[in-house]
Amino acid sequence: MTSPVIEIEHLVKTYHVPEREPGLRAALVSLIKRKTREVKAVHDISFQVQPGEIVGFLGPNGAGKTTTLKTLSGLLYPTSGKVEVLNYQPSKRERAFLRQITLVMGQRNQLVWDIPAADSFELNRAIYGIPETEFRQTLQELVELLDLGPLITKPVRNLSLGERMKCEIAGALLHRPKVLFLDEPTIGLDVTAQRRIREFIREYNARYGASVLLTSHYMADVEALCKRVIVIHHGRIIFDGQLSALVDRFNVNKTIIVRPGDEPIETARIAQYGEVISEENGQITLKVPRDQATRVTTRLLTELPITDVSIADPPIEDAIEQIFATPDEAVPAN
Amino acid sequence: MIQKWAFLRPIYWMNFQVNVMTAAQYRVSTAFWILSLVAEPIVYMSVWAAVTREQGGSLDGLTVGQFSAYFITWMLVRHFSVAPVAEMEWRIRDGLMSGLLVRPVNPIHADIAENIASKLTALPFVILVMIGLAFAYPPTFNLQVWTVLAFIPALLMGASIRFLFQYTLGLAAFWVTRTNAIFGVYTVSEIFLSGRFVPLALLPAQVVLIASILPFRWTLSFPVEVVLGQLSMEQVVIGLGIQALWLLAMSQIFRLIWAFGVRQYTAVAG
Repeated sequence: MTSPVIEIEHLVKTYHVPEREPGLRAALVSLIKRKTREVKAVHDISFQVQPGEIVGFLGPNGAGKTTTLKTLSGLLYPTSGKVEVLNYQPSKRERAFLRQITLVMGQRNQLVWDIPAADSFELNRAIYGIPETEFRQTLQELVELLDLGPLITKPVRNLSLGERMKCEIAGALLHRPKVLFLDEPTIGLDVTAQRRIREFIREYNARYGASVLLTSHYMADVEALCKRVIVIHHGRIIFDGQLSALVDRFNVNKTIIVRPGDEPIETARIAQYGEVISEENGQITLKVPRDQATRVTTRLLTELPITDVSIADPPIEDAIEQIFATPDEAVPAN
Repeated sequence: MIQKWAFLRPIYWMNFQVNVMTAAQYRVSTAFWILSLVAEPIVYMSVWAAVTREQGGSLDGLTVGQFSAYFITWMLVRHFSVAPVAEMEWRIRDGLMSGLLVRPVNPIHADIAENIASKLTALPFVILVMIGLAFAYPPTFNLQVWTVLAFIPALLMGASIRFLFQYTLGLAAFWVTRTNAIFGVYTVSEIFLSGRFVPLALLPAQVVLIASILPFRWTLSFPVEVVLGQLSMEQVVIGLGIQALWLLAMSQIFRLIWAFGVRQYTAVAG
């Protein structure tokens, strides 16, 4: 069995955050006596990522996702616990380690604002010591995959958000990293740009066998790319497994899609069977408790004049929302 | 060492090119920056010229021509030693440092390259202004070959000490959110102790002693003193040695504080 590319054991990361009461008096008191509060951003988490895996790292804002990614990329020093990436200890920030990873976080890391992206790429070639031939080949591939052709010769400040993000990603991958930490790579982008970046990540993973740890608030990203997801909430991992299992575990509801026959059915009548979520294109979508789905479906077929009925899992967002709405102690441990 | 330079050379060269390109994008900004650099010595020069004439043409043995030679050389030294390190606080506070820290090279190298690029790009303009100042206040230079030769290492080491000094102070942003006050104390000390406002020759001996113990004299005043022939060969050699020691000390202090600072880094906004 191959060794994991990412290995975290009992990672804890604590911040000391200054805090004070509102008001002038408290501000003056804080000049003399400063209070700080300990915040455990990440609390005893453990997981592994295997070579070539794309793992979705999910959680609401402040859950500890970015802290974990920063710790893995050597930006943050862990408070305690073991962290290894490609058999390196990230916090030592060894050059050989940094050459094999990339962190895409926001849109202002790789590119120099005032010059065309092509010049920033040349700078990255020097920084990562990429041989000329390999650089040209990778750049050509990236230009092709991300459709960057006309963009890389324009000054970065003249690019749109989506164009900049695509160039940012290309800059982050010129050195062909083995491990990609992607923090919200599609945030703020339109649907087309999101899809393009998603396809690109999948293609890069397939072509180079790179491992990817991805955070995103867009479930479409996660569904398209990740078989496995890790869910973090209040600094603790509450789920680590297949995406399909996540839905099974946390979705307490099912949706039933009903297509009435020629005779229309009143909404109030069908609402007796479950919560009506939508009514469009001649079909009605109901939400019912998961354990009652079969019984409700049978009743619908026998009691109402309908032509077709189908049962489905609700969108994954619902499962995630369900998890994050659940108080800590009530979340089942994985 | 050679291996390290082989790794760093292309990085410096590319950073240099990128920064020349960037400077070319901002011609107006560069022009105003040079103007600000020029205004300061012209103000000082005018003040000291007026005071000297008031005193009958000589102030503590310095004539207007010698003041002019001082501030013309001052311009060149100061041009090389102005370090654009105000960005450090912004980088750390806004989390921009994260992008720099995941690269396999210390960001100081890019900053040094940027500094060199901006110096060389603006140098022709600075020389033009030096010539202009020479026309306004004809200088009295007493140049000798050995002082001019000694001036080159003195200038480069002075600029390097000041760059590292400011850069290291900028790293305070790893611990405190605002570094303006720290730079405020630094600037006031520098104005009086480096020969920036007044040649050290005019200051009391105790002040000169403090300026010589601290790094300030060695950043600006010493290179000027060398080229103006105010020091004996022995004093110049000792001075160059002290500069070398400060340079070594500053680079070690930088390394140490950098290592602690990076551990402290929390990238709050990034």
